[in-house]
Amino acid sequence: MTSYVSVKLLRAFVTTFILVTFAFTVLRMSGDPSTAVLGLDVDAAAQERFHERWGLDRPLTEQFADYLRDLAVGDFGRSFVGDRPAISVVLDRLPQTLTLMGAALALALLIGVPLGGLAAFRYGTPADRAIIAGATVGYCVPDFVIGILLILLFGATLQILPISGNASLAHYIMPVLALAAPNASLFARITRSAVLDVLSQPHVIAARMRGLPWSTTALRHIVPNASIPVITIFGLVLGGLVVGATVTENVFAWPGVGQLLVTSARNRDLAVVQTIVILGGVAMVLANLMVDLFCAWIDPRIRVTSR
Amino acid sequence: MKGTGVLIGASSTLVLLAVLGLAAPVIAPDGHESIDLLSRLAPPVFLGGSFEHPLGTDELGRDILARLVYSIRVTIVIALVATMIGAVVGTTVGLLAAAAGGWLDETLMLIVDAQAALPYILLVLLVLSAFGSELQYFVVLLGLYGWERYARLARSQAVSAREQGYALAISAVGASPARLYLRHILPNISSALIVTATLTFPQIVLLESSLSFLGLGVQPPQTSLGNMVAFGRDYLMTAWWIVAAPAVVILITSLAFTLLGETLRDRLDPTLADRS
Repeated sequence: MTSYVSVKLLRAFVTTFILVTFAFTVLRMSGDPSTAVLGLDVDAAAQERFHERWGLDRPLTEQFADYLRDLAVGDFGRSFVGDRPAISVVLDRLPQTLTLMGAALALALLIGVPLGGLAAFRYGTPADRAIIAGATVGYCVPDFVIGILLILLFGATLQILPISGNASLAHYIMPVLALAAPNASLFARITRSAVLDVLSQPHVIAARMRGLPWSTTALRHIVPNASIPVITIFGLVLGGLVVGATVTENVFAWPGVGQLLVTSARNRDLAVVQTIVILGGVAMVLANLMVDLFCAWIDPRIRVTSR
Repeated sequence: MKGTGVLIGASSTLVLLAVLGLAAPVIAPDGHESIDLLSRLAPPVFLGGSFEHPLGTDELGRDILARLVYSIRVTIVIALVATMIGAVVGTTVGLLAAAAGGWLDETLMLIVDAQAALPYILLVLLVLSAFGSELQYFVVLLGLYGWERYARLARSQAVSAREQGYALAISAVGASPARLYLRHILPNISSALIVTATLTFPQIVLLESSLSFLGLGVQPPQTSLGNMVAFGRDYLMTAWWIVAAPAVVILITSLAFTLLGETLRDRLDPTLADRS
């Protein structure tokens, strides 16, 4: 177990390091910051002073070390819009995004897992085929198209739901639905195939043949074994939520990190974009790490067979 | 065989889309930018519009059908080029890792794992905000989407293929590694790579549409399905057909390709089938 944990920790660390190196490379390659700040017709002396002031005349390795040190203490540079630290601009927006993502994740689980389980128990019936068809469509349609179609239906035609902002509870309905749909489809597909796999295992067949009550078979034998693939895709789902929130927030003018990310990318406010990319990447790495450790904890086979 | 209907339906939908895209200059001889200010926001023909603009017009009186067929053309060309870039880069990395082994293999696979753990769109947004979204950079960025899948697949398939009789025989007669991997192993592992490409293509279409929708992809005056949706969004309340046409086409393209890819995967490699 110890070696399994240390391998996973090392992987997470390496991934984070690659991400940060990538961000640093992109920032340094994107042109001389002095021309971005002082203008193209800056004179040589001013440019030199600028380079000296920000350490741009030193070797790249030293600059990279400085960059890492700054990131480690939470200094992600300053947003040029409003001249505030980029990290506080992002943190201001974070609660709105987290509530949106949390609500969507809960809804996706509540819809996807039971439907996937139902499809597996009714394998091959019309109910199964209907759920699979729904899940395939839900998985293929991009979030912004779902969002636009929802606005068209509930906002424009029926006029019963607000279409932008987050002022009231009613404002949550459409963004949460749009963000939950693809993930609910993913959960349904994974749950279905996981339960189908477990149902054909000898121990489950044996349990059913011994005449155990259905509830015991389900709780003791099916749920624990089928839950591993479902938990494993949490990392993937979180990535989907990050990407989905970026798009959905822009469809519904939701004042969260996703909207900030796109606005900053359009304004080329690099400090803010970099902050969101690094924080988002680190969140993904941590989520995957926790999923790996959790799965290894509940299923000893994983920590023995994988290196 | 199971899925034949799906296969035929999906492929004919895709052929139809390709024909629409190819025939864009014939269907819309005036191009997608021609403005008809007298008939702005005209409804489509089935809502009382005229046959002059079968799918209606937008806020500048531009024909929706013309914009749609040109958008299909742009979107499909971009996604095709991007898919090829990803397949070539990823396969090269995978074969290189398999052939080299040792520290190079380890390093490349570390990068592959890192890429797989990070949401690609975040990295794209960072690059786009640093360099701007010129069309050629944009296509390359889209192209690198999913490269890690080809790399992993090519590596693992090549590692098992080179233990097979034909590969051992070719090494034994003294063929160079380049000849072994490119002439003999690559053709034998290509079906799995082609399935991956078929499944990646619709995701690139979605990525392109999403980024163009966010104003960070294809820029006007060029048109694509995503930026048609973006510009039509302001008229959602009064002229919903501007948005509906490209939204439906995105949906159909993505659905047809995904069904095609999944059916192909189940056919070519039943062990990968997830019974869905």
